[in-house]
Amino acid sequence: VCRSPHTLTVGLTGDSDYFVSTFELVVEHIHGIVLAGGHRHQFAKPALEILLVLAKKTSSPLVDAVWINDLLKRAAWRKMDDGTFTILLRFSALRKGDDATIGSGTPSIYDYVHVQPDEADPQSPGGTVRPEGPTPEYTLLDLVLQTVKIRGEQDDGWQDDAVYGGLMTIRDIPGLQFCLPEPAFLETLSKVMEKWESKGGTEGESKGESQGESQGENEKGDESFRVRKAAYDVVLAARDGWLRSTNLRQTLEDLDFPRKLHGVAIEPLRSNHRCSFLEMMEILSEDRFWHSYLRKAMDIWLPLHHEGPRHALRILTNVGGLLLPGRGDYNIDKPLEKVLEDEWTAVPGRLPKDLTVDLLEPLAEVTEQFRKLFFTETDRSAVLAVVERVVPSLERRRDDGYDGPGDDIRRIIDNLLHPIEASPTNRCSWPAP
Amino acid sequence: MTLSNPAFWRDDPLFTSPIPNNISASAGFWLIENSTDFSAVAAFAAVFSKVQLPSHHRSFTVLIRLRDMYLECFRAPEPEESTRLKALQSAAAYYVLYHTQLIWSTWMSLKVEVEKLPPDLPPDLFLHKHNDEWDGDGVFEYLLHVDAEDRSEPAKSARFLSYIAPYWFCGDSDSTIESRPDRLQTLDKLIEVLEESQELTPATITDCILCAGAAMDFPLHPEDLIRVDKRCVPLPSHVDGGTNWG
Repeated sequence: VCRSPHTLTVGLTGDSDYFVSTFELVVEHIHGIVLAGGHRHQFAKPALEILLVLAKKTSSPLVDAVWINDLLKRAAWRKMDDGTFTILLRFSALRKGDDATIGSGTPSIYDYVHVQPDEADPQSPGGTVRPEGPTPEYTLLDLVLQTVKIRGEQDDGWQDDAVYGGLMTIRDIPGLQFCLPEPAFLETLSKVMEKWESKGGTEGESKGESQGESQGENEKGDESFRVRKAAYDVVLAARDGWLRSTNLRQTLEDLDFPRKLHGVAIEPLRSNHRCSFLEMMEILSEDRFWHSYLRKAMDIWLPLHHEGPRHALRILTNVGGLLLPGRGDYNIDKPLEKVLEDEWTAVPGRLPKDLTVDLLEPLAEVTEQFRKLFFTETDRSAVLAVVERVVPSLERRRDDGYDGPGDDIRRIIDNLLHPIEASPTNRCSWPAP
Repeated sequence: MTLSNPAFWRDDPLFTSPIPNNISASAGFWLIENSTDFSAVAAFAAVFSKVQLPSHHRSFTVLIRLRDMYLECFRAPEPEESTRLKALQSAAAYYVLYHTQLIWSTWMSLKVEVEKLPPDLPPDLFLHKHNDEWDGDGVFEYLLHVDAEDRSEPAKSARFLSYIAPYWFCGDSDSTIESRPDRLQTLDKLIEVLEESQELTPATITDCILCAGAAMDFPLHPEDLIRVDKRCVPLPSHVDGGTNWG
């Protein structure tokens, strides 16, 4: 449909074009009535409710993401009443496409971003600062957050399309990563992902349920997963800002947020989520603040390494402490094999006192986790080949005795070697000590 | 006459597309204009909802013939079911055609043509005080409350109801209307009827969207209503044999 101020020209597939365009124009008209006030204002809400009913009757999603977000942005900016705004959020739930269409990717210069990248707080690398005044995007975010929070906390609030539509709206806000939410909203997101997970977890557990009941539960499960996924997608769209934010990271950790994300990512047949989950964990791993957390939470990211080997390797190198402080030339794209090799072949030239417990202990943990995991033969060979190359130098350091910081270093190296040598599934031939 | 509904304030049609070469309506108009036989009018009224009205073709003769037929059937002593059905078909066709010509002629500032229109507006025509059969409703409201089992007849079908609904929601010919938005509550009933009749198709949903817009003074061009093909109503060659069309 070619759109001009007054006339729309319908193409060869005119029927559907006319249908969608008529719908959009009528909704825009009523939206304008609400913002303008006047005597017809009181009828706008029932009119929109009728249009919502009609939109739901269509067989395919009707609402364009850019279009509805623009309506919502203007509504938030002009302080539309909550009831009508909520209906618009329900329209938003009917948007076309399952994937983020606006918010993801790099914002263009035309996007009204909350904070410009070069405005990052110099005291907190990777963090962002809040704007001095509200922007349309931030106003929209704020209002939608409030609505989602209120609606979501009601009984069975997840069934309200306003919650799902609100999350989808947030997801598609241009430059979302630069709009930092209040930490309290992370709590709402966390609840959304956690709550539905527990409900979904009860599906099919009761014995003897009828087929109809089971189907109903499945539909409810699909519905709840839709909301959980939307919450997940919000974080995914905002990952570059929110997950790097120094303002939010403590809240994220307190909420055990990565584990909540993991709950959504491991849904069956959602391999794309698992890869994006690893991507988000990699972002966290770039901040030393998260290293301790991620080492303790290996059970959520390490088993997914097949879904994104490059991400998994980067997380490993980051949380494993292989990146020495102050080495600005570290290449994050370097394969783990190469990283390990470089680290340990560099030992002779390094002063023993530089090899601290802090540097080795995480590596021991990682190696231990590798040993416990079930790898394919290819993976196992690759990992063991790497360790094989570093074993001689480790053993030399252990057997020759060395001028290290203390006995704890020797113990750590022993622990590092032992799991590999003791592995019952180790099919590789090891060099003689 | 001045159109009170700002729904007709749009200078240009919302949509432009090639005008279909629809000879069915022209043939029907020709038949009525050149035949004095009531059966010709009855035949035209029976298939009226299936044809695309030619907006450029205005015929007061057709209007008068439809009106005469309605009155003839309506005044018949103890009318049979078939006679009442003909009354309904002709009234419904009259209703749509009257609005079409009223809106178009007014919008085109064709004052003379407006004055030629019959004096009785569709609601007046249908509100006959001497017969309880119609329950004092206008044609739209009567069709709205037809029993579900009676909707097998085209003139009573839910699809035909949605066909004429936008004219009713515009309400421009209804001098008694006080507030068009008040009619929105009726739209719920229309949707319910369409759903019960399994007639919620893109065409009828678009009709309903237009109804909501018209009730809220959404600016339209006469062509937007008259060009029913834009509202996805299938022309005769596209009629699905599985639908309720006769």
